[in-house]
Amino acid sequence: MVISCVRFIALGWIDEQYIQPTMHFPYQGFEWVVSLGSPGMYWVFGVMTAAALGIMLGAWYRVSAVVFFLCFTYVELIDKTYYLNHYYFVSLVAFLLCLVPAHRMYSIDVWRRPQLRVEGIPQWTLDVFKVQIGLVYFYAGIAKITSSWLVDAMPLRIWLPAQSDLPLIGPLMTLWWLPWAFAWIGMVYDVSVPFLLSRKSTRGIAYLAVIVFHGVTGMMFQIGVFPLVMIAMTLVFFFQGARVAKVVVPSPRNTVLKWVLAVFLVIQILVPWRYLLYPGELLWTEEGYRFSWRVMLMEKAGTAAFVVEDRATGRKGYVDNGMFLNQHQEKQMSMQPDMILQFAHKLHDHYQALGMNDPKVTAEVWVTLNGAPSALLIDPDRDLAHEALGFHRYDWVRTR
Amino acid sequence: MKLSLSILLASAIALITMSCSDDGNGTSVDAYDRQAMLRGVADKLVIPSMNVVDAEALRVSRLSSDLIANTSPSRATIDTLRSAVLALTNHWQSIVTYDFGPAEGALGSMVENIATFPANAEAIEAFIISGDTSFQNFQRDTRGLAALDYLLNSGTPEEIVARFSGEANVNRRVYTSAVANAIYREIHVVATSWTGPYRQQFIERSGTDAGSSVSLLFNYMNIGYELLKNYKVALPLGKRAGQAAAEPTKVECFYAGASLPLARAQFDAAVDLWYGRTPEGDTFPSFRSYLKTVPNGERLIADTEAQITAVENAFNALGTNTPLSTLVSTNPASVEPLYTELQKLTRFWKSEMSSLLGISITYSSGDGD
Repeated sequence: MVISCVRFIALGWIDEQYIQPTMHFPYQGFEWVVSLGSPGMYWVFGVMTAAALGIMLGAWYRVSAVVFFLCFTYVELIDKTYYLNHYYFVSLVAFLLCLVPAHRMYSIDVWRRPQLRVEGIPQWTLDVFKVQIGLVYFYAGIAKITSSWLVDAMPLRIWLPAQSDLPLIGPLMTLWWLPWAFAWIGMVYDVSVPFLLSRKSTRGIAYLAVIVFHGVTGMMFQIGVFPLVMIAMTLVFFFQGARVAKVVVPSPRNTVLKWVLAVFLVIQILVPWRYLLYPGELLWTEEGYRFSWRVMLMEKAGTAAFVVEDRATGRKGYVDNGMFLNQHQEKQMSMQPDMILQFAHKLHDHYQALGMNDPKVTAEVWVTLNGAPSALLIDPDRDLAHEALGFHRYDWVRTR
Repeated sequence: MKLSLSILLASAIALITMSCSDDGNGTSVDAYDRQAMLRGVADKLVIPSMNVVDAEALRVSRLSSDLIANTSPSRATIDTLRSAVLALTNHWQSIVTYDFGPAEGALGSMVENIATFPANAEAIEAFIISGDTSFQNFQRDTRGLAALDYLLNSGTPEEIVARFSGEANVNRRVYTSAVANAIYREIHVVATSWTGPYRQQFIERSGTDAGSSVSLLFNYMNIGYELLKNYKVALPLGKRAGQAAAEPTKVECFYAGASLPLARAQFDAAVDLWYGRTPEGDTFPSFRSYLKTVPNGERLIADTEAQITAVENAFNALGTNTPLSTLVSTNPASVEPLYTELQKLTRFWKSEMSSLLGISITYSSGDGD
C-alpha cells in the first residue's frame, strides 16, 4: 500500500482525479464527502502513506490502521467514477486491520514496548481475512457463470486479441480458442481457489495458481496493484492461529467485537445479491453492480449527449461534457444511470445559476455492451432534472 | 475439490502444450497488424500532409516578411498573400487530428496555438498600436490562422491595401509577419519531428493501452471530430447549452467567409483516415480494415459508412456559395441537419469502435478491474 500511495502521487493522479475536476460523483448518502482540493489532498495522501508505512512496520499500529482506513476510504468516497473492486477490497481489509493485533511480533511497537510481544494469535484474526478473500473469489467466480462469459467468451474475445503486442505471450493472444480457455479457467479458478487454499493438501498448488493467474492478468490488463495485493493477501492461508491458551489479545468473547464482525460478515454475504431486488439485466442497468465482486465481465462504453432546454424560450442546447468532467469521469458517466442522473442535476443547477429558469435536462445516451450494437440506455425524453436519486428502481432506464 | 483441481491442471497443461505447438498460423484468428496500420497512417497520411502544411506555412511566412519593408504594396501583392493563407488554412484541416505527440507543446497544443477562433480584433489592434509582437500571453485569439484571416480579409480590398501601406502602418506589417512566423515555427517543429524521431516511436507503440499510438490516434480522431461538431458547427449555430441565439461571427475564418468548405475539408480528412486512403487515392490499413478482423466489426462498418454518407449529404445540401455565418443568421434551420447527422456519427466512432477494438478510451493511464 505504501507503493500504491507513492505510485498514485508520482503519476500525478491526485491532481488529475481529485483537484482539477469541477465536479465529483459522490455515493448516495455520502454527498457530504468532498475533495479537499490542493494542498489538502496532498496532505491526505501524505498521511495515508505514513499510516501504510506504520502498518507495515508495526509502528503505532492501532493508530496507523485506523488512520489508513479513514484516509483511504475517504478518498474512495469522493468520486464513484473511480470505483474499482480492488479499492473496495483494500478498504475492507483496512477496516479489518483496525480490529486485529497485527503488531505483536517483529514490530517497532514490540521493540518500543516488549510487553506487547505475543507468541501466538487467535484463530479468528486470520480466519476473518480468509473468509473475506474467499468471498471475493467465490462471488467473482459465480458471477462468471453466464452464457455471455462461458459460451460467447465475451468480453475476452474483444480484449485478448487487443493484447497481441505483449512481449512473449503476445502472439498467443490471437489463438481463436484462447478466450474460451481463459473464460473457463477464470471461472473455475475463482470459484475453487478459496477452498483449495483452505485445504492443506492442495494449498501449495493453489498458491502457485494464484501467482500464475494474477501474474498473467496483471501483464495483460491495466489493473494496477491488484495482482500484487491478491498474491500477498492469499499468503494468509498459510498461517494458523495459536492453540496456546495464554493469548493476551482481544478475543471474540469481547461482545462488541463479536457483533461488529458478525454484522460485517452478514453485510459482505448479502450485498452482492442486492441486484436481485431490481428488475432488468444487471450489466445493462448496473443497479446493484458495485460492491459485488463483478470483475472483467463487460466491455461497455457509451456516448452521452445532454440537452439543456430553456423552458421560457424552448431553445435547446447541447452540452460539451468535457467542460465539466475529465475524460475518465465522462467515460464512466456515459454508461451508468446513477452518474447520468447526478450529472443532469449538476447541469440543471449550473444553467439555472447562469439565469435559465428551471431548465429541462434530457439525455440521449447510446451504450454498447460486449460488442452489441448501441442502444438507448435511458428514455431520451425524460426530464432528468426532476428525477430523484435513490436506491429505488429508475423507471427511466430502458431495458435492452 | 479434486475435480476442480484436475480441471484446472488439465486446462493449464492443455493451454501450454497447445500454445507451444502452434505454428503461428491456422489456429490463430486473423491477427491484425497494428504496426502496419500505424506505418500507413504515418507514411501515407500524416507525414505528407505535415510536409504540405509546413511548405505552405513557410510560403506565407516569407510573403509576409517581404511585406514589412514594402510601404506601397499592390493589390496583387496582398491578394497573393491572402490566397496563400487560404491555401494554408485549407490544408491545415488535414492535420487537425494529429494534435498529439510532438504537437503537444509546453505552451499549449499545435491546434490551440494555431487554430483558436474567432479572432479578437480589438486585442489584435491594441497589440499593433503598441508594437507588441512578443506573444508572451495566453490570448491565442490574437494570433494563429484566425488572426491572419482578420488582418487580410476584414474590409474591402482597397481598405486592406490602404491599411498595409505607408511608413505609419509598419506595425501592422510587422505584426502580420510575426503571426505568420509563429505559425510556421509551430508547424515546422511538429513536421520535422514526424519526419524524424517521432515516426518510429509512433509505429512501435502499437499496443491498445492508454498512451499507445493506437489509443492516441483513436482518441485524437475523436477530439478533432468533437472540435468540428461542437465549435465549427454547433457554436455559430447556437446549439451549445446556454447559448440564447446563433452567433454568426463565431465561425472559423469569418472574414474570408470560407468556414463551410474548411469544415468539410476537416471532415473529409477524418473520413480518409477512416478508410485508409490518401486524397490521391492510395490506400493503407486503417481502423476500417482493423474492424474487419473483430467480431461484429462488419456491422459497425456498415453503420458508420451509412452515417458518413448522411453527413456528406447534409454538407452537400448547404452548397458552397453562402458562408456559414450567413446561413446561421438567415436560415438556421438549414444548418440543423448537419449538426444532427454529425452528432449521430459520434457513437459509432467513439464508444462502439473503442469497444469492439478494445482500445483505451482515455489517453491518460488509469487502473481498471
